[in-house]
Amino acid sequence: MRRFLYRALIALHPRSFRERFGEEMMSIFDEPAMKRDGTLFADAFISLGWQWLVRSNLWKLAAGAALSALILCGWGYAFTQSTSTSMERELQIMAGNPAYHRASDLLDENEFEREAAQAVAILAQIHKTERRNEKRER
Amino acid sequence: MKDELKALLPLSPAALHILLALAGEDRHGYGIMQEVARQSQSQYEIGPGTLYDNLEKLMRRGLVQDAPRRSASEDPRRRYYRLTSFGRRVLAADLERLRAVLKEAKAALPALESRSST
Repeated sequence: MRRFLYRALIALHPRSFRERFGEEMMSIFDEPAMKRDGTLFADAFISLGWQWLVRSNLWKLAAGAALSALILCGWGYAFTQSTSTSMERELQIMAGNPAYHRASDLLDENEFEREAAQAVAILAQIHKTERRNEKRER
Repeated sequence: MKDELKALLPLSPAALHILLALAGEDRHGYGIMQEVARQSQSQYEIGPGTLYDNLEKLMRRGLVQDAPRRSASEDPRRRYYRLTSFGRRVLAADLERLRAVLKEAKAALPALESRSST
């Protein structure tokens, strides 16, 4: 059983390493004086991680994936925050909460008409003054 | 060439012991493991995974190479390894570095001992 497990651990190594050193590792495992205890399996596990992560440059891929995941998480968090804020605002407006207004609600129609009438009156006054000045000059 | 040699220093403990084990003669993997244990009075032992992981690295860097099998009666799965001349130079350079470290340590030891005794 131990031999089978050890062979399975070797089989999990990258192909180039397995083909080059796999049988030699098994020959050492088969040495009568070899202690087939936990340290031997721990050593194979460490070698496995080392071969895949460091020697095969897989760590670059893993680091890239981790960075991409981090960026995606950050973007997702920002997006959900802004969406939930605007949704909450709409819900509050729909519920009639006076603390929340639509932009259009901020304009009072009567007040707008009053302001517009004043602006027109000022413009008319300016125009009138200009015409009077022109007449005087003639 | 000197820069190439310096780039490999300092050697990791496993690499240093493997190169030291191969300094005397060509050995197979199990022989290297036994020699490492003998040289360190069993204070430092390496397993097959660590051994071949380091051997692969050392072979890729040209410090170790394959050597011919000694006898046909041996386990055919066994392969022999040999230190290259470049590997020998790297080993010598690392031993020189360690010698300097040891010299410094010896000089600092009385001061350290007096500090620890107070």
